[in-house]
Amino acid sequence: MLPKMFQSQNSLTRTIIIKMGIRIAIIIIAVTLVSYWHITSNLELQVVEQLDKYITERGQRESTLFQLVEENQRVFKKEFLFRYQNLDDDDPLTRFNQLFEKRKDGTTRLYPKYFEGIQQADGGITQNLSGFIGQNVNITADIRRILVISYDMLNMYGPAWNHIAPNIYFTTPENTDIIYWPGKAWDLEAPADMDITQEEWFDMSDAAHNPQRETVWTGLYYDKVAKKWMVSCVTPIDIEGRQIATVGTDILLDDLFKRTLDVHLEGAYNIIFREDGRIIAHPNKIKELQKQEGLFKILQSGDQHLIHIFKLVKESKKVVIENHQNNEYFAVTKIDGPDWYFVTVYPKSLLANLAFDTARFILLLGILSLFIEVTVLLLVLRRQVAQPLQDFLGATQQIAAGNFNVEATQNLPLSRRDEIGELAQSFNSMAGQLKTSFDTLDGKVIEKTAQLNDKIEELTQTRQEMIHSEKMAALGQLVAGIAHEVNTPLGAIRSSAESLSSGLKQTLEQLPKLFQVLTLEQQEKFFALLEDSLQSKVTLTVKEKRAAKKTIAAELKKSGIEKNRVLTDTFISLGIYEHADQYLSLLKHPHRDFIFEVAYQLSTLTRSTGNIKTAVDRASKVIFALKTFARFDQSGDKTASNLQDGLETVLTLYYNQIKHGVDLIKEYEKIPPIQCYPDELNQVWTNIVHNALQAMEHKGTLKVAISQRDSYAVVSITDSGNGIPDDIKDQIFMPFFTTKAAGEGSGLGLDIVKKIVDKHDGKIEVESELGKGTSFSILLPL
Amino acid sequence: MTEQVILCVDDEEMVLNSLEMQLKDHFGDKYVYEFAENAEDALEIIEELDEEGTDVLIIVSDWLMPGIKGDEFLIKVHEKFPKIVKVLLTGQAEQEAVDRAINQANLHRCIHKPWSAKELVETIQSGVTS
Repeated sequence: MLPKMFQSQNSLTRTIIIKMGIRIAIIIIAVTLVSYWHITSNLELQVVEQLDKYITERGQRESTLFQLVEENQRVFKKEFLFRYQNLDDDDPLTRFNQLFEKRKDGTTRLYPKYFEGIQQADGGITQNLSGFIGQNVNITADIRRILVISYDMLNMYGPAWNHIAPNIYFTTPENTDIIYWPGKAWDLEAPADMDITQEEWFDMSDAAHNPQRETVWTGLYYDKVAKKWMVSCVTPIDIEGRQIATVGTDILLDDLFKRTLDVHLEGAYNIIFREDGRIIAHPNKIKELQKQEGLFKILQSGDQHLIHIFKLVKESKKVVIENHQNNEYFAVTKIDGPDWYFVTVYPKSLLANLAFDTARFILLLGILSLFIEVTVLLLVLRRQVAQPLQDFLGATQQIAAGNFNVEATQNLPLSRRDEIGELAQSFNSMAGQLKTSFDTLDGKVIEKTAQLNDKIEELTQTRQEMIHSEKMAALGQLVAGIAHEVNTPLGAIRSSAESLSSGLKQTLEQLPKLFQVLTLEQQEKFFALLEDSLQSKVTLTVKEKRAAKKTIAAELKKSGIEKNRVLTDTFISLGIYEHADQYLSLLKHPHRDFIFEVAYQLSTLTRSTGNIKTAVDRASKVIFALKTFARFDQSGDKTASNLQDGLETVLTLYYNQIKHGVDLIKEYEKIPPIQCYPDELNQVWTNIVHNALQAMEHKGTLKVAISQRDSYAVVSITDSGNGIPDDIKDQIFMPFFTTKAAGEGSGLGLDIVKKIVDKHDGKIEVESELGKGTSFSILLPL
Repeated sequence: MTEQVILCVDDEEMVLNSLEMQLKDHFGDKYVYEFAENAEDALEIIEELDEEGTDVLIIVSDWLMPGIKGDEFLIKVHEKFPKIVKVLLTGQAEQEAVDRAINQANLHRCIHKPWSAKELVETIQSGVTS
């Protein structure tokens, strides 16, 4: 019992911890999910805001570059026009020749020293400049004037603007070009047959392609001379509707990428394309761009993602656009100047990752707090609940064991000011009340036990009386038969006594006469006859006697004596059943009748005495049985007794009921006397024999057997009666159950049998077959 | 003179012995005495005697016997030999049985055990003279 209780106490803490743990875990998961959702939606707002701000700033920043480039070109154009228009008509040939040299390939180019660096008269250094005049160009004074002006301007503005763009160049429709480009002598490297006017950047500035005569930007293209990818900003310079020159600035793709693509929000990427859908820059499309020599058109690309972005950008006027289809945001701004779209694509997965990271952090935090809470809870439970519970358990066990003393409750947390404290106080007072109750109860139990013992004694007494009265009732039923049993021998005794007295008187009177009529020899024969008669031990049945009569009659007839019934009877009465002819001397005697009369009377004396003896034996036997049966042993001690004696007593009492029509079979094995209550067992045999005789209506076979089986003596009483119907087999041992008519049986018989057998620690076996009979076996321990 | 038979029926030989001695003591050779231990034997003897031409004068019968009871036996005898005088000698008999014997067997008298010789002899004498 104890280990189980301790076990359950352990599991209380464990159960609470597990339940609390599960609940907290569920809460943590729920909080994490809610946080994730909350963070996601918050982040979306933030990202939209951030993107909006970022793209606006970025747009402005990028625009600044292009605006500066454009502004510079406008300044350059204005300055050039001012210088050109305010020029005198002198041909600056000397100056031109100082700058340019005629090459063998037919071209005219700036001296390389102007690229490599040369000290000027004013102390400044001229460098990074190169120039080119095509092979068949007719170099007029005007051309010389324009080129000298442009040389001076490039020498002046080039270094000043170099921080904005890598170069600045000046090209005329006559296929001349001067360029300021640190590190790149473009016009010196240009092939001799080069027609610069056919280059895209120049082409874009002619009247046909640029009717508005504005500053324009090229798409991405590959410059074969510089061997670099770039875009260019070009501004046509016209005088009176005639294009004098074009001023241009290149922005190298590398630089562009550095500026626009490499600098991006983490996880996001930037795209630049033109209004007509031509890609300027795309971090993943560099190869395609280069392969198609910069002519990469979104709408013809087949890239659905790009096409979708392009369409959304064109349709929506918003700064930040949500692209549900590709699960991303993008922010759009226009770069003033080239009018390019600058698009920052921001995949939503970044958001999710961010939210996931945060949620994971919350989850980890939650798990950590779960461990802390569970640990704290465990400690609190142990101290606040488990320990007091164990104390209560101990107290309960002490009280259960009947210990109501102070030690039982001294460990209880009586001083606590919570529910457990209250419980402890209640428990304490309960223990007190229990103690009082138990003390009272003890007294009551003793009192009740005494009463109960009295009752038991009374009941035992009643039972004894009941058994006795049942016995007396059985006896009452037997008495009528027993009366007959006693009266029969009494009648025989009486009549025999009378015969004896009258016979003696007559014999005495006749003896003298007898000796007168008999000779000595005849006297001897007479005494021989008497001797024969007295010594006759053979007792014949009435029927046999009748047969003997016939034998005697035949013998007498053979001896020549006529039929004489009286004489024959006399022989039979004398106990002489054959050889009557040996007494011929007496039989032929003239006083034969007298002689035999006396002989008969003499034998009567013997017979009467014998008859009396038999009758007395019979009567004594019945009286003894009656006395044995009626005895009521009050001592209550077992005595060693022979079962056979008891059975015989009962059978004697029932003799007159058995002898008329019942075959009694006795099968007695020799068994030692057993310790028992013989008087009570007699009642058992009486009840069973009585029932057996009634069941067979006093006709049939009654078998009484004594045997030994294992350590039991077995008394079996078997009748050939009607048997016990199955439906009442279970009831036969119940008190007051009877199948007999009212007044014939008390219904207590077998109940008493059972009680007596139980008292002997014995067993009863009943076997019964309808129409064949019943066998009761009583097993008594040896 | 034909022999006259007194037939005694009782399942106890002791009783038959007593009766024999008492009757012989009193009546001597006046009658022939026959004895039977049960009704069946008695009926056999009556038949046998009837064949011999011997009359049974009187029957003294016990009541409680194995097989046929006294009253029943006397009734049977009465059906065939109504002249025979019938006496019941019993230690214990139901009054009903006695009444039945009186009504149906013309019972002469019922003697109760233990009986006296005088009682027996008087009964026989009264039976013979009636």
